[in-house]
Amino acid sequence: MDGAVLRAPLALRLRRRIYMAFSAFAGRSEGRASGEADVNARAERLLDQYGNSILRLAYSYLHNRSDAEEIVQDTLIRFLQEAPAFNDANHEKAWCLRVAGNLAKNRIKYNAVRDADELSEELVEAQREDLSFVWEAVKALPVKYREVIHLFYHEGYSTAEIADILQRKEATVRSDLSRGREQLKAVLKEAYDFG
Amino acid sequence: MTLAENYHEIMNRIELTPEGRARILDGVRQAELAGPARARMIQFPQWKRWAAVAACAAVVLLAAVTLQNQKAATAPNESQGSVQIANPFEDYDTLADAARAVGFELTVPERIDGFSGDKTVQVMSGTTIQIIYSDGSDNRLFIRKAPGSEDISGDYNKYDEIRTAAVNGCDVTLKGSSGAVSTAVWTSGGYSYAVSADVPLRAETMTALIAQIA
Repeated sequence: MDGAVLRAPLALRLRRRIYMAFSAFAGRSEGRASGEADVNARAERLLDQYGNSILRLAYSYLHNRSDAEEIVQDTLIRFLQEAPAFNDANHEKAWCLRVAGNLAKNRIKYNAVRDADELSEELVEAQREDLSFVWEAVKALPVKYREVIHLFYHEGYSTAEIADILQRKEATVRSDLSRGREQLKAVLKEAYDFG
Repeated sequence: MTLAENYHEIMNRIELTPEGRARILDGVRQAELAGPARARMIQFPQWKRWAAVAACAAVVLLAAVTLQNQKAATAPNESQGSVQIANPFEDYDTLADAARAVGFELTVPERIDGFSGDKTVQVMSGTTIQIIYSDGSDNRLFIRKAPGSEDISGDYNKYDEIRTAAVNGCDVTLKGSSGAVSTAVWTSGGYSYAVSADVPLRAETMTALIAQIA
């Protein structure tokens, strides 16, 4: 008799199992939809805040828009997978640029040299020989000088901040900046103020 | 016009387009949904792999034949369309080779304590000899010599401490901070010399090194 109280009839147990299966399925769907929304929101925020900075840094290494966009994508994926914690927005941006720089440098190692430098073509079409000259001079620099020149002149980072992003000694960064400037000076002559 | 202004103007032309942004977000979503380990991993059936290899081989063969046929016709026009800039630094196997290229000699120590890595010999713009001693990692030391009396160190940093020391009868300008020296410049016999180090040297170490350079 006790057993009859404790144990529900077969029909009821079946109904419960079907209900639980549906609930679990619905829960997974909701979780998945909410996860997608979260991924979208976080990826869009990163793109809004740092997308152009990451793209430009990647382009400065790879000289190709399609490759640079893939670096942006891979940086975002790395960010979402690792979910790193940051003290502030500057720290977050520096992390993104460090990852993007490393990914871009890895890609240089196995990438075939591409002809399609859209920026070069755009500058030639716009008849901006002055800018073409500067861009080609920067492109001709060794990577270690080029990345320092980009972060210093475009992103406005100090040599200490660049050392942190590139994981090098500050003295090395200062030296590379000097050497890079000097090589540019040798090519661009005295037409520019390098300050 | 400053280099910074021009470089900014160049870089500001690189922007995420709405299409690029959509492609990136789509790629991120796909990779995230596939999971970290399986992101970007696409399994092809075996026959498709072999078909792909065969197709690639055919394309390479066709491209090689086509390029060979077109090479003679296109060669004269290859330099058109973009600005080509040569690297001003040229590597040489030996210091003697570099000396022949510039027309003057440079005497430097064969080895420098603390720099047991590669030693690179370069000529810059056909006028300056540069020797780079490396410690095998990030720490390098540069020695330069060129005709004239200009500062050829290439070090544009501002240092707290600038002083002069007499070495082998030359007045050497030592630049650095906290008692250590990052860069030294001097002139002798119509030539300008420079020594600079990524990691600053003790003043005594620097002057002892300079005494071996001519």
